[in-house]
Amino acid sequence: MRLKAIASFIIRDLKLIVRDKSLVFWLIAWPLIWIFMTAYIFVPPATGEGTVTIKLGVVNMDNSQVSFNGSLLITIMKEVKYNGSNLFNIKLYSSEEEALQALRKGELDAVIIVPDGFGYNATNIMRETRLIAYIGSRTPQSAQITSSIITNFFNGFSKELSLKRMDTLQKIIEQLPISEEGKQWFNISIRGIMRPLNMTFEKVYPEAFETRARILGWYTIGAVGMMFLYSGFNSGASLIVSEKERGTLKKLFSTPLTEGEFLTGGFLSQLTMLLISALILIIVGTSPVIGASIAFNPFNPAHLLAIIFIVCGALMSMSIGSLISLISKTWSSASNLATVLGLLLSFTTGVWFPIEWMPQPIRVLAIIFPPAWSIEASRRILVFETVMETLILDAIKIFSSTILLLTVALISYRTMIRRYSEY
Amino acid sequence: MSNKKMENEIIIVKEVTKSYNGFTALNSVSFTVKSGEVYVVLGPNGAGKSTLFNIIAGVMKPSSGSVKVLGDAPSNPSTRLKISYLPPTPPLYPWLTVMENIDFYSSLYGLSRNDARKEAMELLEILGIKDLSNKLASKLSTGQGKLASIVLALVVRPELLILDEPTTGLDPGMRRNIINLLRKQASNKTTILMATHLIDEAEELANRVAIMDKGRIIAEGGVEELKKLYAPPAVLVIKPSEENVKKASDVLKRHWSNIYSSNDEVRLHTENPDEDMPKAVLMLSENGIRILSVSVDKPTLEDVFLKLTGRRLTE
Ligand SMILES: Nc1ncnc2c1ncn2[C@@H]1O[C@H](COP(=O)(O)OP(=O)(O)OP(=O)(O)O)[C@@H](O)[C@H]1O
Ligand SMILES: [Mg+2]
Repeated sequence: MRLKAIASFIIRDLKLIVRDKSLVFWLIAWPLIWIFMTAYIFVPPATGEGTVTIKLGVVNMDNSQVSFNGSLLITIMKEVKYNGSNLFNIKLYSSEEEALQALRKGELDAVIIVPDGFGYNATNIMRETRLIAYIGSRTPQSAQITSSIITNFFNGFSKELSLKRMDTLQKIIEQLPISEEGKQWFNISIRGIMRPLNMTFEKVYPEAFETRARILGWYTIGAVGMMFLYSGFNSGASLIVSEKERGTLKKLFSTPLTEGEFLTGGFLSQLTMLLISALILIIVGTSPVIGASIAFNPFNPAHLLAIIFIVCGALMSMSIGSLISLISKTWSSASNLATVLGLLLSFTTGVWFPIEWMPQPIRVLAIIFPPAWSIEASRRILVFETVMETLILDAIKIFSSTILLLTVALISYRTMIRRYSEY
Repeated sequence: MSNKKMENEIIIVKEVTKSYNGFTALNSVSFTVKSGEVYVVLGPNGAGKSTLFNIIAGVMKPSSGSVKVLGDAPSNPSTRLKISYLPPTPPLYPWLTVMENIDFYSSLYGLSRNDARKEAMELLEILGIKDLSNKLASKLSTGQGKLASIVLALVVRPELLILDEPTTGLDPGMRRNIINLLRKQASNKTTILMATHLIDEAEELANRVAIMDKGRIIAEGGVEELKKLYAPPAVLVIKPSEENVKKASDVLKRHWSNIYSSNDEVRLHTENPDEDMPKAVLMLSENGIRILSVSVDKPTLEDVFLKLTGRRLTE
């Protein structure tokens, strides 16, 4: 094996990156487009600290002449703030009919009907208070968000009401002609009846999804994985058939180049291209333009392991590409098949889209597809900051499948070279 | 003694047969090429020249038979170090410049970049195409690509050059330059195996010629030797108007047997041109065939091929 011969393949192909625009598109521009789309459309900059405003139509039919009534409710709702801005943008309607029409037209997110007697009921400890809410559904997501916000608001409101009623009740009890102990007992029981369960809810995200930066880190590694899949498939599939169709294969094998040097040189040069592109994607992803956060510390052995996993991902993708070239006759058919298959697999194996989005039968793909393991494991290290000890099984799986797939690639390439030297 | 002989025989091809899915492209071909020789394989399209060259260059396996090059199997990397093979289509990487293509291939031969570049510049200079060195291969014309790949083949200073139709697609002036360059190489002890279907090129360069047809070598020897064996002393070349070629050849065939016609001319192989020329002209004009020109020519390898196969080498 002559290093000089192998190096000359790398030099040859690096010039391709600089000079072939379509290659640059697939290696760098296409995955960047996805990162950008994610950063500015799917996970927009306000995510996590953003503001929400609900367009609320209110029909106030309450005529109660008491201290708390429908008009006061509306005033309170107008004042509710969330992250510094008004949560409800309230518009008053005079009839239910009118309000619902606006809701159906999509002008409103929800409608609340305040029935007559609302104030009277609310202030009277012996009565049940009613409110009716209609939730519009422009999209399934928006309906969910609106209904959860409204529910939360009125749950809180209902709690406040309970406390008010408890105070009123306590004052009444104070004046009852019973012993102090009896009063005590009443107070506690009332509390129990009013609030059978005093529970607080707090949403807990996995740490990684706490911030937008982490989410984008997840997607940046995903973009690298996606690029590995179709470009790796492509370069693996094209390695020999491209030389054959360009008319260079015969010339190459008439020189002192050995089969081993040819395969090593070709494979390493493709690997170099994939890794350079991956580096560019990560640099752009973590730059302020995108703002992804990826943990990397060269002195952390787990982080170095992540790099090895990424290299394995590239090698495995290229090896699988060699199988594609076995079944396709021409360079263009090999390359088309590789691109389509690579994109498809990156969407369905959890490399780009989260695997949870996939229907159950498709999730099997992620389980049996080794390149997805390496992307998932590097993500766990670089985004979720998993510790070394939890990675041993992954490392064994990834290394052994890399070796296995490289062997398969070697066999299929040798088969192809044989085949071409027969003709 | 025997050692000396082995050294002298650069290529030994023994009963090489090659079939593609049952089609026999080479049929028991045998020959040897000696050190310093220019050995030209001449044959029409589909004769099997490229197949033969692929096998000798070690990039294709024969179905049967054996090939030895420089005393060893051509697939052996140490043998290949001394061989340079030029395929019929330029083996250039389109995204590299001519010089970068040369860098790449010569590094496979273990040459230093500077040496290879120096040698390449000299060759480009000789051919008068120095300005091509920094042009991208994808931007070259067909002929320029061909020239670049010849330089590519020569730059490694091989002991054996295997050239498959090196001048196809070149204009006559450039073809001349290449022939001169190859002559110079041959005088520097480079052995050259070359395929062509151009007669004058073969006659001009060859020490020995193998004439191939339908997968076989049908004649082999020096140019003059072949002519002496298979061609007449003279050839009467008659050019009637084009629509009359067929008729003219039919008329002449009544009297002579060695009549060969092509699109635009009829060739009459003759021992005695002085007698046959007036006779032929008279016969044709009696039959109302107008003649554009008549000449008595020296026979060429074309006539050797005509004699052997009854067909012309090129149309
Ligand atoms: N890969 C192949 N598969 C099947 N048949 C082939 C293949 N390569 C060549 N042949 C056939 O073998 C015969 C010899 O082809 P070859 O290319 O060796 O001829 P050639 O003398 O080089 O012709 P040319 O002057 O046109 O280059 C032809 O009939 C050709 O059709
Ligand atoms: Mg040919």
